[in-house]
Amino acid sequence: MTVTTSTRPTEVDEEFETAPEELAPRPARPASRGRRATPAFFRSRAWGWVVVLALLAAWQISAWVKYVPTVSSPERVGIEWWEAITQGGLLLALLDTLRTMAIGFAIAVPVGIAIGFLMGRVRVVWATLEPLVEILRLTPATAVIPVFILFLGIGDAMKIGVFLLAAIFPVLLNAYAGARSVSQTQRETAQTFRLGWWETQWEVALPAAIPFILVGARQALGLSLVMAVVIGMLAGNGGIGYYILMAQQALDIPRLFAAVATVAAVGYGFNALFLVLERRYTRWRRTDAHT
Amino acid sequence: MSISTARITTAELAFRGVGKDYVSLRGEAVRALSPIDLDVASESFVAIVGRSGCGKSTLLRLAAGLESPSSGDIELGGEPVEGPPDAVRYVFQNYSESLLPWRTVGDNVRFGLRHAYARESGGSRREQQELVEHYLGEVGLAGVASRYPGELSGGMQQRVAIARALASGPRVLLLDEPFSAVDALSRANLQDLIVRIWEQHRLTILFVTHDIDEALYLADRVVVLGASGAGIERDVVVPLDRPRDQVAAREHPDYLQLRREVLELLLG
Repeated sequence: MTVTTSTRPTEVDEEFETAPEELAPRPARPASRGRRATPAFFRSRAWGWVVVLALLAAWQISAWVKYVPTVSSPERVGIEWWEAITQGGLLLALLDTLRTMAIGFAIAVPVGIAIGFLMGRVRVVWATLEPLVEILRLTPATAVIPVFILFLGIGDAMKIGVFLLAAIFPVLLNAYAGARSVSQTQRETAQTFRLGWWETQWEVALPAAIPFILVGARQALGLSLVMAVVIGMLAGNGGIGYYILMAQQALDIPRLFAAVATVAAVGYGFNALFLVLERRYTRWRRTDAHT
Repeated sequence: MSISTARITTAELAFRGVGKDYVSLRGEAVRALSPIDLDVASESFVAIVGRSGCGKSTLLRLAAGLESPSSGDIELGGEPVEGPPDAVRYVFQNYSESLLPWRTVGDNVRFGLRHAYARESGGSRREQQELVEHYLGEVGLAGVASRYPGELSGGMQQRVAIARALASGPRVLLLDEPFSAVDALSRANLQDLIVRIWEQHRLTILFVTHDIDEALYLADRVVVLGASGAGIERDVVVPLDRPRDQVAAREHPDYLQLRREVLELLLG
């Protein structure tokens, strides 16, 4: 299988910190690094947030100068958002979508890890599943929704199925790439210490794959969010996608923007959460890689 | 200490007509190592030198059971080697990949304890902790157990790899150009360290290097392999007393004489 699509765990957004050449005094890096990860996440992005705020400010100022109803303004979107959350159905629509998404994701991650990892480690499993995985992963999940609706209706089962299908491949492919990332030296180290098959997987291959798996889970989350909106629009019976569609058809521009901004914020929040988790569970890589 | 003392007894590792051929990607047969006979005495320190492609790493990998010979037999303590033997540990040139980077230095050494040869790997958490500190102290790395390998310099990482190997209590240590990626001054320290460990643990060491000075300084005996897998070209005993001094040993007339012979052999 070619894994050209899967991102290497070394992502582009890194600051580099050179490893100490000799045993210098330990850099100020307390044991509770994980707890500090969250503020560090925002601190390292402070300047980027200034850019976001500047864009919002520019939007607001242009609305003060000349208000265009189809463009609305941050102020009006904000007011509308608060109403949609507290009184309208936005929160309910969002929670409804997140519920099915969480179930699909919760199934996709362990199944994807297991299949991908075993494909990377056991030749027979690879040979058995490679064509199937390649065909399915290149089938756009959006194209599958009508098929799922046909067989599963428009209820939870269909939605969970679509989320499962969307989320499983990034996890699977990255777990595969991670399992393949075990180097010859690592493999031979396990051999010379006479580790058995299970021990080798558990002590060498799986830990080596974890950075890849975390990247895969993060990609899966991004795709799930796309599907969350598309499902609502295609199935048309609720959820955040349906909410956005309804706002658009009612030409309620502030409500439309409020809903879109909510999806964006949820996506950003989840992504940030996963980056912090990655940072926490791959601390050992932090001598040369950063969140 | 003179090498003529009772150190050398029986053959720990015996190669009988051991050769290795590969088939290259283009389908041609490539001779990695012509059949050789070699006895490595128990508790001796033998260095293998030769140019790149002479088959010295192949020889070591065969002894480690990482590859199987195309011809001949290898015996370890009288038992045939089929797959990695329990009494043997291998120290890789590529220490940064051999160490488990997601485990702390201490847990890497504990990995050696848990996968130990001929010893109860158990013991309480506390006893294990003490052993880990003991082995780290032995390689001069006391107090770094909580660090990750990536935070250490190359020389220190190779020390961790040596401590991990020692923790598993081997009889034979195979080292494949272990110090070639380390800076020259750290290398001198590591050389003295490996000799000290060899003496204290009464290990049998097979040490592959392309550095003639390193081979002559460390070993009881230097085996020179001919180019392109030609087999053993020379087999010389190094008559220098121990302990050897990094400066004085390298100026000793016997040393210089041997160095000249081996160099001429390899360059000529």
